[in-house]
Amino acid sequence: MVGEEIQAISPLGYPLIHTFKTNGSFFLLDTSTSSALEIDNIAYQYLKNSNGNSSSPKQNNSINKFSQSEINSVKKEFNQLKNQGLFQYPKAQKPEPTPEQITSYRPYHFVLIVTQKCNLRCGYCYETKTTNPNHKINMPLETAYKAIDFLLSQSNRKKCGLTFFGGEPLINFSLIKKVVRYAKRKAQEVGKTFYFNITTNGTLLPSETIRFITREKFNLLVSFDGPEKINDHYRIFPNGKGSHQIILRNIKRLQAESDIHFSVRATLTRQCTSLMKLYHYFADEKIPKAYIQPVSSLQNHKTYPPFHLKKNDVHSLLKEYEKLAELILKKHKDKKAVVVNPFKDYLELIHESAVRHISCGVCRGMMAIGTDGLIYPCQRFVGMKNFTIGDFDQGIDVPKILHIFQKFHEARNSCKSCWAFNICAGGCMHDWAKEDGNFKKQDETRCTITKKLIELSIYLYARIMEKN
Amino acid sequence: MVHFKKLNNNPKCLKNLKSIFFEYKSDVLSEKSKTIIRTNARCLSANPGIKIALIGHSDDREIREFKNELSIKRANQVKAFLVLLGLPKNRFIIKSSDQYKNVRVPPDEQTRSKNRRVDFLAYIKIPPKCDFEDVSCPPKKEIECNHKEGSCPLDISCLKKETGCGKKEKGCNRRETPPCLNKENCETEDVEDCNGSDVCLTEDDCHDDIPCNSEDNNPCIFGESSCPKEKPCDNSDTCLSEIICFFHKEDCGSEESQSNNRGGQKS
Repeated sequence: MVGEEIQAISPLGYPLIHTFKTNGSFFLLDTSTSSALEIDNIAYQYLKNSNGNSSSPKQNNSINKFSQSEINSVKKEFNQLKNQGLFQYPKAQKPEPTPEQITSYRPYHFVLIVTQKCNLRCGYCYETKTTNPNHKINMPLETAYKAIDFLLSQSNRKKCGLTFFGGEPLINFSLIKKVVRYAKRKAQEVGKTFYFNITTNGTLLPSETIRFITREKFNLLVSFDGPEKINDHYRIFPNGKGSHQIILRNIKRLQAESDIHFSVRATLTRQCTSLMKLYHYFADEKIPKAYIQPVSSLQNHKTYPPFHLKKNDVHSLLKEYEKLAELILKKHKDKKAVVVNPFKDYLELIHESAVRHISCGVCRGMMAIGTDGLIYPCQRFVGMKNFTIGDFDQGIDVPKILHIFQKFHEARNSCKSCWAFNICAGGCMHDWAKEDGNFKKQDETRCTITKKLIELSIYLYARIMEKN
Repeated sequence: MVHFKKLNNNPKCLKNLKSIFFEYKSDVLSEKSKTIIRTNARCLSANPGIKIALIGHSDDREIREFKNELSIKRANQVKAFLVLLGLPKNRFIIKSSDQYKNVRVPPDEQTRSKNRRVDFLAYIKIPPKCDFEDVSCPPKKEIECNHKEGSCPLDISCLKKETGCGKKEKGCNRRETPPCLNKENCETEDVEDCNGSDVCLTEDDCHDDIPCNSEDNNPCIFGESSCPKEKPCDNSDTCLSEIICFFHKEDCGSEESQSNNRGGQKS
């Protein structure tokens, strides 16, 4: 499903060129520069056989069907590109970010875990592994206020952000209201402003709440897995009852009563790998935007949980991504919008020929505050004591952040032989994190999916640029 | 025969497109300006998929006298020269700055001269979001079209600046009802118009307060925390599309975009 793995290897063992065929077209990614090229079948076959060394192509049947002049023409172009700076192996040895690069970021966005409590018991929720269900608490108001003060004192930006997270954050709605009021007032005092986000399960959205988040221009993300049968497989109340009807009813109310930006986040499990089915469902329900993310399933005692995507599931999911890419192209051609675009981030990275060190703002501009008042790299780390990176009294523990990154970089060494590394940068740090503070790759399916997304993004990019 | 076609090899020069400066009350290109435009044009030629917004600016005195007219004229002069150099005219959209990016007071001659310019803003269109499957638009708050101030080209409540400025669109009355939520709410002929207008931003909306997870009507799709005001919204056809920002990377950081609101399968 994913294209040819590595076509040329640098002397240092890093991949230089990745060639692949997708949706009927051939492409090449120069991994050291993240330069993408569309190639024809002759070039594709030639590179497959030459292993990137233009002087000594191995002849076989696939290449023999082309004339010598055609092959020479490919060789000539390939060498011209080499002379222009492509396919240069020294650049493939990507330097790790320096400590200065890591620590030069000042926090400007906090994710506040306003409560650990939740009114749902979703089967795949990672919260269960980090929080003792018997000791779930709300964030004390004083902690939230301290977080605001701390953020304003640390941030060097005029705009600061707060995301309310949980648990289910709307369980602690009274605190949210107070925090918003406090944040706005304190920000005004120092000539700054706040923007607000909230991630909710969508079951607690009465009109009063909608009015509030509308007035305060919240960005709302609703966790919602789509059709009733799919959503209610894992997103259930403690009594086992599904949450679909309530969430959908609240979304409809939200659409009727508010004009705020909201989107939906669906988690893809092996119960449904049909992206197109979800796409059409969300479109039919007039959901403006949906993120569909494959479930993150960490291995536990050498077994995977039942929602884990197995090989066959991943195979069919990759096919679905191909279909989705075609649908997006059609929408683009017709100047219509799309609900789901999992290629968005990669399109940008490809567009900018990006070589990334870190895949997100973890530990840097964005940090999370637990109910305990401790600072964590992001909301997914909250509760993992080995990953705390400071508190409001002592400030941000910069050596600890560097230590975390160092460990992470060491663990990512195994990725450096992957052609996708410069774009994916190892992916989500939390997916690698272990309770003991170390890192280890735990979910290979994500790699397969990421590679496919990058390939399809290059395909999309080529077609979009063509149309533009 | 071309076997290798570069897709994204050199967008860096697009970040270094230089602005063109003008004399007071003038839209005439100097020789120096033409040299700069030629340099910019070489970069644009090498990146054929890139669209360019030419954003004209005027200083405070010119604004008082000409409103945005001179800014538009300046941008058009630059466009005309670029077309003369062989670039297709449909790659460019013309905007006036509406003063939002102008160098602020004190208005001495030095700062004023910096305000008499045309900026190049590079972008591409990519598949849009915010889909209502062809028939409807997102609910949109009321937007006053301030045509008295001449800001119509940037005020996207005006669907078509030639006809729509300050007027209600026929059929699809977005001031009194949510615009085209359902096809039934609109006359058939209005549906397309509605789609073409309501996903756009007003200048006020396109503000760096707005996190870019709101890209359903934010042209700065990739920035997580902010969308600089100067991102254009092309009323003609790009309103339905999204735009990759080239500039203000510090504001539109991809590193941040992933972290915001998509942190795992939390309930």
